[in-house]
Amino acid sequence: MKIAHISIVDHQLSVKRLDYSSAFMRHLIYPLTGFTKMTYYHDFAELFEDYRVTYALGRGAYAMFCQEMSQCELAYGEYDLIYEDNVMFIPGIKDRQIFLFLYGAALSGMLPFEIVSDILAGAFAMFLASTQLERKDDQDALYA
Amino acid sequence: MKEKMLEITLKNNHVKIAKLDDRLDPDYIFPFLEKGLSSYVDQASDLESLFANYNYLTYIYFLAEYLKTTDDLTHFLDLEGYKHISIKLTIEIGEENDSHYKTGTMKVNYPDGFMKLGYAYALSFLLAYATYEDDMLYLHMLTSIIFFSQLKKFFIDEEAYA
Repeated sequence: MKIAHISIVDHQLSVKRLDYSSAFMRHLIYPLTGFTKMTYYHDFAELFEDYRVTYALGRGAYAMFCQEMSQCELAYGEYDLIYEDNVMFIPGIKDRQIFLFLYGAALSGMLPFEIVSDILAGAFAMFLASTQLERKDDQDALYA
Repeated sequence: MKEKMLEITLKNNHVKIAKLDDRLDPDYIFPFLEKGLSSYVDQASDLESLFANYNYLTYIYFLAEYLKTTDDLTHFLDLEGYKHISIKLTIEIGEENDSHYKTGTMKVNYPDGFMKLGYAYALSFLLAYATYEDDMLYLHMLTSIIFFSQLKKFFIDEEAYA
Protein backbone atom coordinates (compact mmCIF):
# COMPACT_ATOMS: atom_id res chain seq x y z
CA MET A 1 0.00 0.00 0.00
CA LYS A 2 1.33 3.43 -0.91
CA ILE A 3 1.39 5.63 2.18
CA ALA A 4 2.69 8.82 0.63
CA HIS A 5 4.43 10.35 -2.34
CA ILE A 6 7.51 12.40 -1.53
CA SER A 7 8.88 14.94 -3.97
CA ILE A 8 12.13 16.88 -3.77
CA VAL A 9 12.34 18.86 -6.99
CA ASP A 10 12.84 22.48 -8.04
CA HIS A 11 14.10 23.44 -4.58
CA GLN A 12 10.84 22.41 -2.99
CA LEU A 13 10.09 19.51 -0.66
CA SER A 14 6.53 18.25 -0.67
CA VAL A 15 4.59 15.23 0.54
CA LYS A 16 1.21 13.96 -0.62
CA ARG A 17 -0.75 11.57 1.57
CA LEU A 18 -2.07 8.56 -0.35
CA ASP A 19 -3.32 6.30 2.46
CA TYR A 20 -6.74 7.33 3.74
CA SER A 21 -7.57 4.02 5.44
CA SER A 22 -8.52 3.88 9.11
CA ALA A 23 -5.17 2.18 9.77
CA PHE A 24 -3.16 5.12 8.43
CA MET A 25 -1.48 6.01 11.71
CA ARG A 26 -0.66 2.36 12.43
CA HIS A 27 0.83 1.95 8.96
CA LEU A 28 2.89 5.09 9.44
CA ILE A 29 4.23 4.39 12.90
CA TYR A 30 4.34 0.61 13.31
CA PRO A 31 7.55 0.19 11.24
CA LEU A 32 9.39 2.26 13.81
CA THR A 33 9.29 -0.76 16.11
CA GLY A 34 12.21 -1.92 13.96
CA PHE A 35 14.31 0.31 16.19
CA THR A 36 13.83 -2.20 19.00
CA LYS A 37 16.01 -4.74 17.22
CA MET A 38 18.98 -5.22 19.56
CA THR A 39 22.25 -3.90 18.15
CA TYR A 40 25.71 -4.42 19.66
CA TYR A 41 28.42 -1.80 19.39
CA HIS A 42 32.10 -2.22 20.09
CA ASP A 43 32.59 1.29 21.43
CA PHE A 44 30.87 4.62 21.94
CA ALA A 45 32.21 6.05 18.67
CA GLU A 46 30.46 3.27 16.74
CA LEU A 47 27.21 3.90 18.58
CA PHE A 48 27.53 7.66 18.03
CA GLU A 49 28.06 7.15 14.32
CA ASP A 50 24.90 5.04 14.12
CA TYR A 51 23.04 7.71 16.09
CA ARG A 52 24.16 10.25 13.50
CA VAL A 53 22.60 8.08 10.79
CA THR A 54 19.42 7.65 12.83
CA TYR A 55 19.19 11.41 13.35
CA ALA A 56 18.43 11.69 9.62
CA LEU A 57 14.85 11.01 10.73
CA GLY A 58 14.89 14.30 12.63
CA ARG A 59 16.69 16.11 9.82
CA GLY A 60 14.02 15.02 7.33
CA ALA A 61 11.27 16.24 9.66
CA TYR A 62 13.10 19.54 10.11
CA ALA A 63 13.66 19.97 6.36
CA MET A 64 9.95 19.51 5.70
CA PHE A 65 8.74 21.85 8.45
CA CYS A 66 11.15 24.63 7.55
CA GLN A 67 11.47 23.97 3.84
CA GLU A 68 15.21 23.90 4.45
CA MET A 69 16.66 22.54 1.24
CA SER A 70 20.36 22.50 2.08
CA GLN A 71 20.13 18.96 3.45
CA CYS A 72 17.97 17.68 0.62
CA GLU A 73 20.89 17.31 -1.76
CA LEU A 74 21.33 13.67 -0.83
CA ALA A 75 17.82 12.79 -1.92
CA TYR A 76 16.65 14.82 -4.92
CA GLY A 77 13.88 13.00 -6.78
CA GLU A 78 10.39 11.55 -6.47
CA TYR A 79 9.63 8.67 -4.15
CA ASP A 80 6.78 6.44 -2.96
CA LEU A 81 6.62 5.46 0.70
CA ILE A 82 5.20 1.95 0.82
CA TYR A 83 3.90 -0.19 3.69
CA GLU A 84 3.69 -3.90 3.00
CA ASP A 85 3.72 -6.95 5.32
CA ASN A 86 4.58 -4.78 8.32
CA VAL A 87 7.55 -3.31 6.51
CA MET A 88 8.01 0.29 5.39
CA PHE A 89 10.23 0.90 2.39
CA ILE A 90 10.94 3.18 -0.55
CA PRO A 91 11.65 1.40 -3.82
CA GLY A 92 15.17 2.12 -4.99
CA ILE A 93 16.38 3.42 -1.65
CA LYS A 94 18.70 1.11 0.28
CA ASP A 95 20.75 3.69 2.15
CA ARG A 96 19.35 3.83 5.70
CA GLN A 97 20.25 7.48 6.18
CA ILE A 98 18.44 8.58 3.02
CA PHE A 99 15.44 6.40 3.85
CA LEU A 100 15.14 7.87 7.33
CA PHE A 101 15.49 11.40 5.93
CA LEU A 102 12.62 10.81 3.50
CA TYR A 103 10.57 9.02 6.16
CA GLY A 104 11.02 11.96 8.54
CA ALA A 105 9.98 14.37 5.79
CA ALA A 106 6.89 12.27 5.10
CA LEU A 107 5.93 12.31 8.79
CA SER A 108 6.17 16.09 8.88
CA GLY A 109 4.29 16.46 5.62
CA MET A 110 1.25 14.63 6.97
CA LEU A 111 1.16 15.19 10.73
CA PRO A 112 1.27 18.26 13.00
CA PHE A 113 4.50 19.26 14.73
CA GLU A 114 3.46 18.00 18.18
CA ILE A 115 2.68 14.49 16.93
CA VAL A 116 5.86 14.29 14.84
CA SER A 117 7.82 15.38 17.89
CA ASP A 118 6.24 12.62 19.97
CA ILE A 119 7.09 10.11 17.27
CA LEU A 120 10.69 11.31 17.12
CA ALA A 121 10.93 11.05 20.91
CA GLY A 122 9.66 7.48 20.78
CA ALA A 123 11.95 6.55 17.89
CA PHE A 124 15.13 7.87 19.51
CA ALA A 125 14.16 6.34 22.85
CA MET A 126 13.62 2.96 21.21
CA PHE A 127 16.91 3.25 19.37
CA LEU A 128 18.82 3.94 22.57
CA ALA A 129 16.91 1.27 24.47
CA SER A 130 18.00 -1.35 21.97
CA THR A 131 21.69 -0.51 21.99
CA GLN A 132 24.28 -2.56 23.81
CA LEU A 133 27.94 -1.76 24.20
CA GLU A 134 30.34 -4.64 24.52
CA ARG A 135 32.90 -2.77 26.64
CA LYS A 136 31.67 -2.07 30.13
CA ASP A 137 33.62 1.17 30.54
CA ASP A 138 31.92 2.65 27.47
CA GLN A 139 28.56 1.54 28.80
CA ASP A 140 29.29 3.31 32.05
CA ALA A 141 30.21 6.41 30.08
CA LEU A 142 26.95 6.28 28.16
CA TYR A 143 24.60 5.75 31.06
CA ALA A 144 26.47 7.62 33.75
CA MET B 1 32.95 38.94 39.83
CA LYS B 2 30.59 38.07 37.04
CA GLU B 3 31.05 39.28 33.51
CA LYS B 4 28.57 39.62 30.73
CA MET B 5 29.72 37.34 27.96
CA LEU B 6 27.04 37.21 25.36
CA GLU B 7 23.89 39.01 24.39
CA ILE B 8 21.31 37.62 22.08
CA THR B 9 18.38 39.72 20.96
CA LEU B 10 15.36 38.56 19.06
CA LYS B 11 13.26 41.35 17.69
CA ASN B 12 10.95 41.72 14.73
CA ASN B 13 11.77 38.28 13.41
CA HIS B 14 15.52 38.85 13.32
CA VAL B 15 18.09 37.54 15.76
CA LYS B 16 21.26 39.41 16.65
CA ILE B 17 24.07 37.77 18.61
CA ALA B 18 26.70 39.95 20.26
CA LYS B 19 29.88 38.40 21.62
CA LEU B 20 31.11 40.61 24.45
CA ASP B 21 34.15 38.67 25.61
CA ASP B 22 36.96 37.12 23.58
CA ARG B 23 37.18 34.18 25.98
CA LEU B 24 33.80 33.02 24.84
CA ASP B 25 33.90 29.76 22.97
CA PRO B 26 31.81 26.59 22.77
CA ASP B 27 33.63 25.07 25.75
CA TYR B 28 32.33 27.89 27.93
CA ILE B 29 28.76 27.56 26.77
CA PHE B 30 28.48 23.78 26.63
CA PRO B 31 27.70 23.27 30.35
CA PHE B 32 24.79 25.73 30.09
CA LEU B 33 23.37 23.84 27.20
CA GLU B 34 23.87 20.44 28.78
CA LYS B 35 22.14 21.56 31.96
CA GLY B 36 19.42 23.56 30.23
CA LEU B 37 18.46 20.92 27.72
CA SER B 38 18.49 18.15 30.29
CA SER B 39 16.22 20.11 32.60
CA TYR B 40 13.48 20.02 30.00
CA VAL B 41 13.05 16.29 30.36
CA ASP B 42 14.25 15.96 33.92
CA GLN B 43 11.33 17.60 35.65
CA ALA B 44 8.42 15.72 34.15
CA SER B 45 6.01 14.31 36.71
CA ASP B 46 3.75 12.46 34.30
CA LEU B 47 3.82 11.02 30.82
CA GLU B 48 1.93 13.93 29.26
CA SER B 49 4.36 16.56 30.53
CA LEU B 50 7.32 14.36 29.58
CA PHE B 51 6.22 14.31 25.95
CA ALA B 52 5.28 18.01 26.09
CA ASN B 53 8.80 18.78 27.25
CA TYR B 54 10.22 16.73 24.42
CA ASN B 55 8.13 18.80 22.00
CA TYR B 56 10.03 21.84 23.19
CA LEU B 57 13.30 19.98 22.82
CA THR B 58 12.47 19.15 19.22
CA TYR B 59 11.52 22.77 18.68
CA ILE B 60 14.85 23.90 20.18
CA TYR B 61 16.90 21.65 17.90
CA PHE B 62 14.89 22.60 14.82
CA LEU B 63 15.23 26.31 15.57
CA ALA B 64 18.95 25.91 16.21
CA GLU B 65 19.39 24.21 12.84
CA TYR B 66 17.45 27.04 11.24
CA LEU B 67 19.55 29.71 12.95
CA LYS B 68 22.69 28.19 11.50
CA THR B 69 21.46 29.13 8.04
CA THR B 70 19.80 32.51 8.57
CA ASP B 71 19.16 35.31 11.06
CA ASP B 72 15.73 35.95 9.58
CA LEU B 73 13.25 33.93 11.60
CA THR B 74 10.11 35.12 9.81
CA HIS B 75 9.26 31.74 8.36
CA PHE B 76 10.12 29.78 11.47
CA LEU B 77 8.20 32.03 13.84
CA ASP B 78 5.24 31.96 11.50
CA LEU B 79 5.13 28.24 12.07
CA GLU B 80 4.41 28.85 15.72
CA GLY B 81 2.29 31.93 15.18
CA TYR B 82 4.58 34.28 17.09
CA LYS B 83 5.79 37.10 14.88
CA HIS B 84 6.73 39.99 17.09
CA ILE B 85 8.32 39.14 20.40
CA SER B 86 11.49 40.51 21.89
CA ILE B 87 13.87 38.42 23.92
CA LYS B 88 17.25 39.13 25.44
CA LEU B 89 19.63 36.54 26.77
CA THR B 90 22.72 37.33 28.81
CA ILE B 91 25.43 34.95 29.90
CA GLU B 92 27.38 35.83 33.01
CA ILE B 93 30.46 33.82 33.86
CA GLY B 94 32.84 34.28 36.76
CA GLU B 95 36.61 34.66 36.78
CA GLU B 96 38.85 31.69 36.12
CA ASN B 97 39.57 30.90 39.78
CA ASP B 98 35.98 31.43 40.81
CA SER B 99 33.82 28.35 41.42
CA HIS B 100 31.27 30.15 39.27
CA TYR B 101 33.61 29.76 36.29
CA LYS B 102 31.95 27.91 33.42
CA THR B 103 28.84 27.32 35.50
CA GLY B 104 27.58 30.87 35.77
CA THR B 105 24.07 32.07 35.30
CA MET B 106 22.02 32.43 32.21
CA LYS B 107 19.43 35.18 32.35
CA VAL B 108 16.61 35.23 29.90
CA ASN B 109 14.23 38.14 29.57
CA TYR B 110 11.12 37.59 27.53
CA PRO B 111 7.52 38.79 27.56
CA ASP B 112 5.03 37.39 30.04
CA GLY B 113 3.34 34.27 28.82
CA PHE B 114 6.39 33.01 26.98
CA MET B 115 8.06 31.18 29.80
CA LYS B 116 8.70 27.83 28.15
CA LEU B 117 8.94 29.25 24.67
CA GLY B 118 11.27 32.05 25.74
CA TYR B 119 13.60 29.56 27.39
CA ALA B 120 13.40 27.39 24.28
CA TYR B 121 14.42 30.36 22.15
CA ALA B 122 17.35 31.14 24.43
CA LEU B 123 18.62 27.56 24.32
CA SER B 124 18.18 27.48 20.55
CA PHE B 125 20.32 30.59 20.14
CA LEU B 126 23.02 29.11 22.32
CA LEU B 127 22.88 25.80 20.53
CA ALA B 128 23.20 27.51 17.15
CA TYR B 129 25.94 29.84 18.28
CA ALA B 130 28.07 27.70 20.50
CA THR B 131 28.08 24.17 19.19
CA TYR B 132 29.61 22.16 16.43
CA GLU B 133 27.56 19.54 14.60
CA ASP B 134 28.92 16.72 16.76
CA ASP B 135 28.12 18.71 19.91
CA MET B 136 24.52 19.06 18.78
CA LEU B 137 24.29 15.37 18.11
CA TYR B 138 25.86 14.56 21.47
CA LEU B 139 23.39 16.83 23.27
CA HIS B 140 20.50 15.35 21.32
CA MET B 141 21.66 11.88 22.27
CA LEU B 142 22.05 12.91 25.89
CA THR B 143 18.55 14.34 26.11
CA SER B 144 17.15 11.27 24.38
CA ILE B 145 18.85 9.09 26.98
CA ILE B 146 17.36 11.18 29.78
CA PHE B 147 13.97 11.08 28.10
CA PHE B 148 14.19 7.31 27.83
CA SER B 149 15.24 6.88 31.46
CA GLN B 150 12.27 9.03 32.52
CA LEU B 151 9.96 7.15 30.20
CA LYS B 152 10.95 3.82 31.73
CA LYS B 153 9.71 4.96 35.12
CA PHE B 154 6.17 5.16 33.79
CA PHE B 155 6.18 1.67 32.35
CA ILE B 156 8.45 -0.47 34.44
CA ASP B 157 7.67 -1.48 37.98
CA GLU B 158 11.22 -1.49 39.31
CA GLU B 159 10.26 -3.59 42.33
CA ALA B 160 9.33 -6.43 40.01
CA TYR B 161 12.95 -6.61 38.94
CA ALA B 162 14.46 -6.29 42.40
